[in-house]
Amino acid sequence: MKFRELVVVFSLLAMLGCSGRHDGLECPTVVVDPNSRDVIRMSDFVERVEYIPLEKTDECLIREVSRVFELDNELIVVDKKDKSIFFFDRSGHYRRKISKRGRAGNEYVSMDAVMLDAVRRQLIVFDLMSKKLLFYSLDGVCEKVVPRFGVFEDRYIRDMINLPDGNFLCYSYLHGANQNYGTDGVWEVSADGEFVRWIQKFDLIHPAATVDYAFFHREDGTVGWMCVEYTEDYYYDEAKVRPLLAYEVDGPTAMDFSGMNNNDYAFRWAKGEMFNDRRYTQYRGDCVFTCWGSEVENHRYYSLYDKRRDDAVSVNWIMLSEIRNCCLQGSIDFQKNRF
Amino acid sequence: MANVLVAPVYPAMLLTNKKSCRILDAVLDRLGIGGSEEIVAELNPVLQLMYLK
Repeated sequence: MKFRELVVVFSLLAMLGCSGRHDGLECPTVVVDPNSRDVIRMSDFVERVEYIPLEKTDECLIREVSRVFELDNELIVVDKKDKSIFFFDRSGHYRRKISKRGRAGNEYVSMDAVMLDAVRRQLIVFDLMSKKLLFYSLDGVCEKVVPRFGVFEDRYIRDMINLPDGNFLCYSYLHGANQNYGTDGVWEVSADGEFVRWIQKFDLIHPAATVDYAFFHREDGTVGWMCVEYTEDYYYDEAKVRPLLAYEVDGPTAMDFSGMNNNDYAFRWAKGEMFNDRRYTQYRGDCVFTCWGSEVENHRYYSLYDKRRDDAVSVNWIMLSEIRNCCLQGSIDFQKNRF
Repeated sequence: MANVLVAPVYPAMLLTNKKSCRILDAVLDRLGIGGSEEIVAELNPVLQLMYLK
């Protein structure tokens, strides 16, 4: 079966519009209806497909592809489960790896975030367990270690991203009222690991998904922040977050359980009081893919927002689990897969 | 790879989704991956690069 012949059953969305948000700044609002469906062709938005089988050797056994970078015609595959970073050529031939598990100064205990600095040609590994940041050359030589990185108000850094000036944005997802409400959010940390400023504190309480990846680099050089807590996305520019895209779901969301933390909500969930939950979003070119709904009917679905359709935004749901698993989930979930 | 979606495809999935997962079958057919189930299960993932229009 040719790829272009593949027809994906989607559930269709509904509409779209613009709404004012945040200090008068506007951003598109995507309104979605989980109950409507449509059929679209993947060939409508995909030009071509390439397959690269990754070579398997004794040195290279991949457990899970957590993130993929491309630099100098090499594919850099991050496997956070194996705590290793593998290098392949564009044909998929294995070249080398960075695997420095341990407690020595140039080693890491956990691999909680991996960033690529293409300018300085370094891979940056954040070790939450040891609270240190390690800078490796592309050949695997540890060039710098920052101990006690980001230690501040007992915040746990759940994800982070490197900024062009060498600083970092750090993120701690919403925990709820029982765990220091008000101090989760996004803050900036210097290259030496010192707290710089709060960017945004969460001013709400509701159940929230555990977010593994919250940031992404945008084509214009700014940094995007997928804020599932607010069901909105932002970008970071000139030390401020500005609205990028908002979502409005025609159905229950986490906001409907305001004042309730994850532990409280667990009991409601058991009784079937579930909500539409945004898990992650990926921005690629003119398309925005979003994974939704792990709390609704115990399945996930996806939305596609195509910016080229002028003012019309279409969002589509993928209802077939087999497509979700093998095709679009991996595609959408470029940063992490949950097969 | 601003306009590319990268999808890791795990050949071992074929073992559990063979009947229902037609797309994965197509991917493996295109790659020429066959042989015994043991061989398929031990393969590293295949990166599926989707170039957006």
